[in-house]
This record gives sequence, C-alpha cells and structure tokens, in this order.
Amino acid sequence: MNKIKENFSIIAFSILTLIVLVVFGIFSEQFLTVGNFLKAFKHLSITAISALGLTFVVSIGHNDMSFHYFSCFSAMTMSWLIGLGFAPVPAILLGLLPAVLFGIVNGVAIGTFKLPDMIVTIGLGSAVYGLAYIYSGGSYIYRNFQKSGIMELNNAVVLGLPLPVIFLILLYVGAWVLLHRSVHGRRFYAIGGNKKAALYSAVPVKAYIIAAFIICAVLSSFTNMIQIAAQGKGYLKGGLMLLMPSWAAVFVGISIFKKPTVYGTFLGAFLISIMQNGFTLLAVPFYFMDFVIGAVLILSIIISSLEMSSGSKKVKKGAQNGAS
Amino acid sequence: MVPAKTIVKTLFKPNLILLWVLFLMVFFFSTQSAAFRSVENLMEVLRSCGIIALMVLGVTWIVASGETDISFPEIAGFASMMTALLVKNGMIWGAAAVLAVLSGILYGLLSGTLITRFRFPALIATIAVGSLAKAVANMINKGQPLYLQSIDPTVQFLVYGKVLGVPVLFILVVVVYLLAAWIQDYTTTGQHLYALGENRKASLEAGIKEKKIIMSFFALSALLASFSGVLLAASFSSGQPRIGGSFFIDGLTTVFLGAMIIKAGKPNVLGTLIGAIIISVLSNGITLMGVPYYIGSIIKGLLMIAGVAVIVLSKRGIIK
Repeated sequence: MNKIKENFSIIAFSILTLIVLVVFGIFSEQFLTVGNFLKAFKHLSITAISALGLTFVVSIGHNDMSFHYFSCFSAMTMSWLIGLGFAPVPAILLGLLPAVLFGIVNGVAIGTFKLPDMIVTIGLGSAVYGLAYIYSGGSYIYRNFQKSGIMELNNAVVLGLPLPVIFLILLYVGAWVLLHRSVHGRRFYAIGGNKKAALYSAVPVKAYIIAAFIICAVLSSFTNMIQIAAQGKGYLKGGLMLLMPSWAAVFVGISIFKKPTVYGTFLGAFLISIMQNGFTLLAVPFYFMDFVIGAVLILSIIISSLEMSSGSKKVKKGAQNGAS
Repeated sequence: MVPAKTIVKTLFKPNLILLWVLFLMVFFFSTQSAAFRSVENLMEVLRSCGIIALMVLGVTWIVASGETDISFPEIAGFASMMTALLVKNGMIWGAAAVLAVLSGILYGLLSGTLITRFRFPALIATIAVGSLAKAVANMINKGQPLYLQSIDPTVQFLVYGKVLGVPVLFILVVVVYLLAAWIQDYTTTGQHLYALGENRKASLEAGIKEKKIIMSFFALSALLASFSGVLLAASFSSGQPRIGGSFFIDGLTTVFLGAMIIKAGKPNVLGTLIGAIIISVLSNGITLMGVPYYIGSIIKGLLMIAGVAVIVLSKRGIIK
C-alpha cells in the first residue's frame, strides 16, 4: 500500500498515457500503426530536444525565458550561411556558435554576477531576437535550401529511423548518462538544492551554471534547425513556438518524479506530443494544440498535488521565482 | 538649505538613472526628428503607452510579491476576441465589455487557484492558463481575426478621444495609477505585498493572508489584462486572437524596467508607468527616424540588462 502511495504520480501518469493511447486507438485507425509512431516521434523530437536543454537549467534552480529567441538567431544564422553556399554541416556548426556565446553571456550574468535570471534572460532574449532580423529583415531565406542538402537533416532515414529520431535517442541517452550516471549530474542537482552548500563542497558553481545555459541554448537552437530544415526555408519566427511546450514538458516531468529528470522530461514531451498527434489525426484544428498543453499541465499539477496532500513526499520546487 | 552637492548626488542615484535615460531619449529624438517633437506626436506617445500600462499594472504587484505572471498577453487576446464576438452578435459595447472582462477574470482565478491551492510555481501555472486562454481565443473564430463594422462612440472616445489636448486614455491611466500608487504605499495591502516578496515564511508567521492576497492579485491582473483587451478590440476594430505574442516581451520589459526606477529593484506602479512611457517613446522615435523597428527590440533588451546590472551591483556597493 505504501508503495502505491509513494509512486502515485507515476502510476497515475501511466494510466493516463494508457487511456490516451487506447482512446485514440479506438477513434483513429491510423493511430496505432508503426508509420504513425515514427511520424509522432519525429514531431516529438522537436520539442523534446529543446525541453531536454531546459531540464539542465531547471535542475540548477534557474529559469530560462530566452532559449527560444536564441534558437531563432542560430537557425537564421544557419539559413544565411546556407544561402551563402556553405555545406550543411559547417553551416549547422557555425550556426550553433552564437548559441554557445549567448549561453555563456546568460551564465556569466546569472552565475557570476548573480543578476536575476528572469530579467537577464528576457532582456538578452529580446535583444537577440531583434538581432536575428539583420540577416533578412524578417523575410524568408530560400536560397540554396533545396540543393544544399540541408533538408536531409529532417528527411534522412538511418537504419529505418528518421534522422531527428536518431538525434533524439542519442541526445537523451547522453543527457541521461550526464545527469543521472555521472558526478556532474550530482553537482547540477546540488547547485539546484543549495548553491552555498554546493560551493562549500568544492563544486565549481559558476562553471556549472554557465554549462547549463550553454546546453539549453545549443539544444534549442539545434532543434530549431531541424524544424527549419523540415520547412525548407529560413523562417525567423519558427523558434518562438518552442517556449511553451518545452516548459510544459519539463514540468510534467517534475510533477511525475518530483525533480527535473531526463526521463521525466521525455515522458512529459511524449504525452503532450502523442496527444497532439492523435488530435491531428482526428482532424482537430491546429489552434487546439495549445489547449492540450494547458490541460495536460494542469492535470499533472493536480495529480502531483493530490499525492502531496496524502502526505508522503514533498515537491522539490524546480524553479524559483525570478525577480527577487 | 541642502547643499548643492547633495542635490546633484540625489539626482544621479542609481534608481533614477532610467529617468535620465528617458530624458536623454526624448532629447535625442527631438533633435533628430521634427515630427517627434510636435505636441501632437508627444500626446500620441502618451496615448499609445496607455494600453500596455493598463495591461501590466497587476503584473507589477504579482512580480513584487515574488510570483510571476506570463498569461496576461493571452488573456488580453482572449478578451479582445470575446468582445468582438459579443458585439458581432448584437450586444451593446458596454455589456460586451463587462462580460469579456468577467470571463477574463476566470483565467486569473484559475491561475490563483493552481498557485495557492495546488502549490505550483507561478511561472508554470500561468504558462498553462496562458495556453488555455490562447487556445480559447483561437477557437472563437477558427484562428481568424473577427472584424467589426462599428465602434461605440463612448469606447471610441476612450481610446482616441482628447480632453484639452490630452488623450483620455492617458488621463484614465494616470488616475488608475495614482490610485494604485496610493494602495501600494499607504495601505496595509501594499505593505503586505512587499513583505511577501521579501520573505514568504516570515510574512505567513506574521499573519499575512498570503493566499487571499495572491489570489486577488491574479484576479486583478486578469481583470486589467482583459480590460486592455477590450480597448485593443476597439482600437483595431476587430478581435485579434494572436495579438498576445506582441505584448509578451514589451509587457515584461515594462515591469522589469519599472522595477529599477524609484524602488531600486522592486517592481512598483509608478516605475511601471515610466517604463511604459520609455517603451512608447522608443518605438515612436525609432519609427519616425526610419530606423528598422527591430533595433528597438535590441535597445530594449540591452537597456534592461544594463539597468538591472547597475541596480544589483550598486546595491552590493560595487558601483557607487
């Protein structure tokens, strides 16, 4: 009985996922097919990779409201380089450079100078988003997109799996090892738990904060590049839609496992994405998807707090509020 | 007699730096553009800061009490669609506005409940509620704007009218803000709100009714956001489901810039009003100078980071 109580959220979440799968399976013939699952995973990889980066920032107890703006800038940099005639791989790597730079700026401002994270990330995000307009003034970049091969980033199939899904698996396994099977992971959580205690335990706190913001910026930029490759044109506002689902995925994960985890984030992203996929198959219009995000979030909040009120565990608040 | 040196020192205190920035900005744009310095344009600047100033007044207090609200732009978008829908179906403007505001408040109550009852971080609760509001706003007309034939003259007057050359909207904003400033600085609610922001546990032990206050702030924020949504519907002659996105950055920038004025680091209503004017001056001046508008977003971002750096570092005594 105690076991059930302890794992209430996990059980409730599994039942919820099962119900979702069964209901969509009944209403849509295509839903429970291999082809559809590959498609769903391809769609999932976009938000899941971005949410993975955010998991690191939340695990050190900070907020990031800028990664989606950085991803716009990086993806536009990549599109611009493609337009200049660069090959896909150098264009992607060079495009990720500014993301690293912005991650460092975020990390130094928040970790080293201890400025409030909400203000810094929104300020820097706003500035970088404005800067992203310099490449094309806000219009699409089409040049060289078809012939450069950049679209393979989304379309290629390796070992029977779409390339984005391969990235999804590799990045999640890598992040799982980093956060849950290495000393670095302990340190991320230590900083999130108590910064001063971590510092006195000889954890290089500042370096880890910078690292978390770099990981967040780079992963969201990379996932936006996949999205741009899927669209077949450099599109400035493409990255903006990453913000809400990424936060939602991370927090659904927190409400299941009581702390930001790699597997929790994955399950959160999975639940949201599979529901969006199911509704798409049922021909529900696109603007309904925000409703799915909101509803899943609220439901997971309530499930998680039901468990708390039964009094077994305490939620470890992942995010502190910024402007203090 | 206060020595002149002290007066000069007071004028250059870190918490007044953004006022100087505003002053220099107005001065600079005035020298660069004849169109900017005309009285008519300056009044237009004041008018156009009105809607955003109303939208983020509640957010100011929410942030000051240590919470976050990012659902306000979506609630405004929802209220603009709701108003348009009701007016389109033959309701008079006044009733439509009241109904839109009342239904907007429901979102605030929902965020408040999720935060106070279910103890989840405000950021995530408002992300959830914002997503719901956005989705409902889009459902009203299948994701399309809803255009209106006519605007009620009273509402028209509220948005575009002038009394003695001063925009009515700005007068309304000043009245609301003065009232809010009084509540903030001369009532116990105001004291409680900063106490909550300073130390949540200590405030609870001191008997401050945290849940009630937080709940009412979120309801207030939703009320003001929906009211500005009604004004948006009037000023665009349409309901715009996706208007929210454009107010997200500007709204939070306003609050955070305002936090650096007067109370050095704490959001306060007069600061927010000045923040709204700064943003309005910036976008107006940049448009009139023919500079691409995205330069404005770069300047705003840098201003915010520089401002918070000055305030935080001066508090630690690194900058004097």
